[in-house]
Amino acid sequence: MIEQTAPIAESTYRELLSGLQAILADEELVIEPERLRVFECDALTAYRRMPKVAALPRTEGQVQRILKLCDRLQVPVVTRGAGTGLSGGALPHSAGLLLVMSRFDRILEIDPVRMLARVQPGVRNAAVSEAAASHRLFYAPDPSSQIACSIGGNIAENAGGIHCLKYGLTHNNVASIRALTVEGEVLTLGTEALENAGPEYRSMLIGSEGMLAAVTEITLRLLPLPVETRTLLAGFDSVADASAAVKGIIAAGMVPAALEMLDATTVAAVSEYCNCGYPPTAAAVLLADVDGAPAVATADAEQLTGIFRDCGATSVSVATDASERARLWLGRKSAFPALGRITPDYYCIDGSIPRGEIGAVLADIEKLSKDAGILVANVFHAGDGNLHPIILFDAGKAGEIDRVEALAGRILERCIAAGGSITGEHGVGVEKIDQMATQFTDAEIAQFLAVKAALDPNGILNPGKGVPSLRRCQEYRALKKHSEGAA
Amino acid sequence: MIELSAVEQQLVAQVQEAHQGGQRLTVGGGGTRAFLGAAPQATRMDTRANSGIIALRESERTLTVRAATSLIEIESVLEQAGLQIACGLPALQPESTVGGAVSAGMAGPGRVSGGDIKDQLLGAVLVNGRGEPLRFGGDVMKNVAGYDLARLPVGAFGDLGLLLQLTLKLQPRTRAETSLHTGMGWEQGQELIRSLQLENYPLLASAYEDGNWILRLGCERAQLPQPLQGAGEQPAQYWRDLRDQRTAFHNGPGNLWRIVLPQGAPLLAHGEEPLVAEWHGALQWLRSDRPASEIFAAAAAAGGHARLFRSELAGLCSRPDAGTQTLHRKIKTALDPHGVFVAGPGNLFAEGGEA
Repeated sequence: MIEQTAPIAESTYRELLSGLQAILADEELVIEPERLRVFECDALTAYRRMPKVAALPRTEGQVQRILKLCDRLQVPVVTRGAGTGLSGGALPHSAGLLLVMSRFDRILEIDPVRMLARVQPGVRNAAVSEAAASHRLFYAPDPSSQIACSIGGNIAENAGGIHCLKYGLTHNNVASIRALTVEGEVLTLGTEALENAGPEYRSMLIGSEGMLAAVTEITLRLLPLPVETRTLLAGFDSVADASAAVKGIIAAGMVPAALEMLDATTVAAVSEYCNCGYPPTAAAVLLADVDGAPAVATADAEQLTGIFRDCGATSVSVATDASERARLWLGRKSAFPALGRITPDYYCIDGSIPRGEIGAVLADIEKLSKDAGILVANVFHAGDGNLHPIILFDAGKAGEIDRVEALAGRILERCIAAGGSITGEHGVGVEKIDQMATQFTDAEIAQFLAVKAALDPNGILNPGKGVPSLRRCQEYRALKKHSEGAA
Repeated sequence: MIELSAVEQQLVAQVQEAHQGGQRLTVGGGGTRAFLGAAPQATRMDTRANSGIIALRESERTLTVRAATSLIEIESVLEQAGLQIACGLPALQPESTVGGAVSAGMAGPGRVSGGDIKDQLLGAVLVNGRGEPLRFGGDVMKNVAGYDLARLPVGAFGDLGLLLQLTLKLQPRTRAETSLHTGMGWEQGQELIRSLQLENYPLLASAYEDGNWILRLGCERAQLPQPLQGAGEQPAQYWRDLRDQRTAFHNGPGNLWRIVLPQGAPLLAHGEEPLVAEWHGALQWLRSDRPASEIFAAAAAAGGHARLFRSELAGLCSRPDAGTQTLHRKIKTALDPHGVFVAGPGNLFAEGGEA
């Protein structure tokens, strides 16, 4: 649930507005409710809240002055990129300012020799690879929303994607970050050189959900484009066999570029939705990319086929040319709209577990789903052990949303019990803030809060997100204990 | 809860006492990086007993170890499992520990194929200045819960806390390997490296010495392009000696600089100054008697940073900018409010760091 906050005092609001008018042009400042409506949520649409004002600055100097103004007036600031986040990290604050970075949309430099791209935070993820392609380079992290999501948002959530099994997450592909503190101080963290000197403050900022600083420029590392890619699709009669294949691939020392799993519900839905050539009645399919020099891709495709067969795959197909490969990926990429056709609403969650635990955890998710009487589909980054259970439900039914939230909570707790994490790549946001109390001790939470207070003493940056207060942790644990006792 | 061994509990108690009693501690492991700077004014906390592998999960390709485990022990265990730490952690002496290598944050020749040291780290148990053992990150590949404080100690030289346990990502060893000296000079070799990268050849490492590029590739020689078919063989041991800085070049007399640069950086040696490069030229080891300020300026102009590595004047390094220094003071206070931990030799924020 969203914590209630006090409304902004009228005098503060007036001072804020006059301050903002001195910093921003009229068209860079939004105060009318009808124009603020578009910002009321990110892609976690179950949570909606109107900001008091929205600022759409164009320069770092403007951002600096806005932050100082808000810090002085103690007005909350929520930074927003493209609004594609799935954990409510960019949910506005009702008494605060929404700092919309969409106008920071320039690719400042592609440096093919250093293999770097210097970009503004509002640049779309896919635009970086498009700009680098003529140099035979690309930016590897590729979240499913990559056509729309922004690099700034990717930094905020440490975004992953389909190919991070081989190429890493956002934090593995960032050279340096330029950011502003609430006091307006410029931070340059990390380096274009191949190794940072000093503590990893760059990593600390990545995934911090706009709670420590506001990012104004990012230098990304580019990689050589794969010369050849093979896409493999394997059908299985059981989730257990498919899970065993994932374990076998990792244990065999293979590093596919991508390794995705879709369960029976998802396979059936996408087979109805598009012509992707999946075995429509399979209990699970695995979809993999192997890439590199042609000889390597060929050898890896053969080895992968062997592992699939050894683990009981009922069908294996290998696609080489671009259109065949695109057809196999179409099924995976259509999973969300396809599931959307069989359910009024869905809710995608994001747990991370050791790869060897996939079979056991999926079996338990199925049990939890049956107990709750709510269907759960699974389509996820199996090679990384990053689950995306998708709860299918009808928000129109009385009490359904509460039951869905409870089921999601139980699934995340199961991920923690398996030695995992409540979030692999979507971030905590508002969505998983309660489960932080299960994953972390009070001393660990207190340490996060101390780090936050060191950079943002007035607590104006994205309050109520990411890290819960100690009181909230204790309340959540007491509530959980009580409900477990009752069950 | 974090399960701590008796040794770890003692170390935690030592930090708690120091926090309450206003003492200052400096974390010591194998002590093999002491040459990086002056000895700190603090009681040396001997962590060497905190050693041992907690879990090698071969099928997950992860390793959890106690921080003072020797790198030699880790390497021999991983070798048997056909695994490795991708960037290579320099084992300067048999006593060198994994905690020391992570705290120093300086990667081996595998940096260009396997990432830097933070890229190997999945999780850590860190004791803060209050003597609280804290677990950040985890054993899983992806984890964005809470701020990333697991990787923060990389390069911090023990300034931000005591590392008790580390979980590292492992990489399979390649099925085949070929090392060869190309006979190519700086520019020609860089062009070759560039084309090998773009053609996706499995280039594991590279080194430049005596005017010649040496390459390490994760494939059979027969799979290499024509210009490399006739190249001379290089013994594989070369890469271990380079990683562990056991060459005559590294241990010779005079000032040795370690200069880290972006890929494609120019050669920084003047005239006859001896130089060995790694990382396709992005790591340059330079023997030079030029004034430190000149080396720092040259490194900065090329987009990098420098450290006087082996010298009587060791401790000199490119200083972080003002913003980073302020940030460091704030985060240091958040983790260690009474200033219990005093960073070990090599600390970037040490007084009088840059000449």
